[in-house]
Amino acid sequence: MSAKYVTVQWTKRKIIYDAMVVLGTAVYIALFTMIGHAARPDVSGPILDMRAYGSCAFLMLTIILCLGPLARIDKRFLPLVYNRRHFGVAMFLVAAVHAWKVLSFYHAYSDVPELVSLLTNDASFTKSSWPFQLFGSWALLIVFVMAVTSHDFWQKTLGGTTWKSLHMLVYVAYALAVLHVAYGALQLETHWAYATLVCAAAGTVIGLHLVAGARSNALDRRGVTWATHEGARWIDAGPPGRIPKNRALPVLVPNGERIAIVRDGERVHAVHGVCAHQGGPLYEGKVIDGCLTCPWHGWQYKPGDGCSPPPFTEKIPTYRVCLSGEGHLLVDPMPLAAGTPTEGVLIGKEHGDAA
Amino acid sequence: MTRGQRRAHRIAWLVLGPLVIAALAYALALRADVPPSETPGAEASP
Repeated sequence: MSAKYVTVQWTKRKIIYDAMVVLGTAVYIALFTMIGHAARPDVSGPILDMRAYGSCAFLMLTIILCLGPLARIDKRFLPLVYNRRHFGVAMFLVAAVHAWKVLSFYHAYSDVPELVSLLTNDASFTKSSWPFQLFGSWALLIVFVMAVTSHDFWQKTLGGTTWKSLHMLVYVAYALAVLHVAYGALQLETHWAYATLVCAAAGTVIGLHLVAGARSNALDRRGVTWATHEGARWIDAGPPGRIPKNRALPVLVPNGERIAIVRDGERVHAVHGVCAHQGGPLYEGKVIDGCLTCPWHGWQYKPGDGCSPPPFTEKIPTYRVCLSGEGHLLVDPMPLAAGTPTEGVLIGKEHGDAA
Repeated sequence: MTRGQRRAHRIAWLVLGPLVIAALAYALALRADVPPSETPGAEASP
């Protein structure tokens, strides 16, 4: 979140996160090269190098794609989602080094330019051969576009929906990367362990997304629970004590969207569940320094009025809440204008405590 | 995430998942048939 354009808004957490990514990448490549030299003296240095960078990029993309569903399944993974963009850009750089090493080793002596050689040398589908280099090239092109448009400037320029749709192409990039490995390296290296590792990686990514999707779908299918209060229809959000202290929970509203019911100490508010930044799930966020904080990139909103703390100017809609006679939290289904202050409700110990 | 984004994620993986698994299975089946010298890209080595 930013009041003005800055290249990267560094925070201590971002620096630590990025340092871990750089350190992890360097250690992986060093270990791969050392072990590779010792275990496979028949493989030349340049080939070992390109495999080190290629396998590292594949592993990084696998981890990046696992973070989202893991965080939806278990909130303990949420801190890893934060700053995932830098992880993605680092992955692109490692993949680009892999591609550069392949071009300068396999295609440097071709009669045609290196890129032409890469794109034409192995470009046909036959029964026994698929163009694995093309798969890798397309995957790299997608992550390149994602890396250069990863800054908030592009999100604002392209618009949230276009930007998000563009960045969902990472799933296609991963599918292409799996095919690149399966029809390339796995055809050369026939030991069962390599095939097992690739299958496990792809299976984990696909399985986690399907499980997280099914759980999310189950919440949507449950539908809205209605209650009548003082002659009007309100959404019954259940006992307020089920919201852990300084956390948020999702509640479905009639249009199928989710709002966040937020517990800030002993007071509960309801705000729009979608972050104004990149559509992050505010209902999975937590209260830090009195502000509901988006788990994706740390954008913050005050639960009482949906406004970002000064100097920031973002606002999200708020909802009126009250307690029913049975002690259930009720939410008015009609949103208030973005930034409208609400009182929220004060909950006592008699309402239970999930904290 | 909005309702549309959640739906798009689900559809993406319901379509991509089986496609990737099928292509991966085909690649593994090919390994049994193709000698290393005929592996795609192998002839490009200097």
